[in-house]
Amino acid sequence: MDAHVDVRPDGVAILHLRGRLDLVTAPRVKELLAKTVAEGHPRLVVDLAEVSFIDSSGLGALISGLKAARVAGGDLRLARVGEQGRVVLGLTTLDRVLRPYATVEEALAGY
Amino acid sequence: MLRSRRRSLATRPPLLAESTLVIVAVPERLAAVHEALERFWATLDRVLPSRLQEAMRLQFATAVIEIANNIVQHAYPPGSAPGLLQLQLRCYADRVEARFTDRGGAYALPPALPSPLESEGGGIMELPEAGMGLLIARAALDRLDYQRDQRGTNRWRLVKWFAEPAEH
Repeated sequence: MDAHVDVRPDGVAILHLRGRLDLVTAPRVKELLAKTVAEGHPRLVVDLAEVSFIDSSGLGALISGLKAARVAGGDLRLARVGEQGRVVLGLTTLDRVLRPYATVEEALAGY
Repeated sequence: MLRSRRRSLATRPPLLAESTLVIVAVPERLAAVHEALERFWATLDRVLPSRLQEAMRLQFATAVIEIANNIVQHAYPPGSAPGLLQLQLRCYADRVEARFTDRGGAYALPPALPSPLESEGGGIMELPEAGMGLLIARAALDRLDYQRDQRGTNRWRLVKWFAEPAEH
């Protein structure tokens, strides 16, 4: 799993992830999301275009990030979720709180 | 039996494809399960008359990974002696199946639960950050069985039919 964060001039942080968001990588992603919020960037967009697979641990990391962002007055939005990611979000109905945006730009709109 | 739709497993159509994987049940080896699934789909593209729906592949693969995760986390928890996990992927004319066996600790299968949003009244701060694997597997599959035999072998069976059975 590769991960890096771009912070935009307006303070929104975009996390670009690549690989599988799973049992092995979820702790690292959870930590990165918490760190980004703690550094003053509670408005998050997670770009999942390069993520091939999300399991329940990966979902847990995203939920953890969502909670941290909300507590700090921000939000966590998912962009470019792959087919398998949409399947997992749909099976858990978590797509109601982690609504997938088609593009990063759409996720950024109104932030 | 945990979840079953109307079809019966009593009659067994011909086995079209089977592959077996044995790995050490540790998180770092789970990539091998992904690779086994990829090889399995490639085989099915050759032996089935038409390509399986992508949604079905993704649901089945997602459930297989969740059960593999479960075995790695619960049958052989951190600190215990490492053990093996065997996965058999099978394709019959009307379904795909995955069978896991391991000789780790017994698993106490919880009852089927509603989705986290339904059970927690929609509160985001109350959403669980772990424990959703079985919920996902159950939702993705048509049938999920778990048994532990007298000799201490855990057996999981995952079934996904190719199409919804006709309504009666």
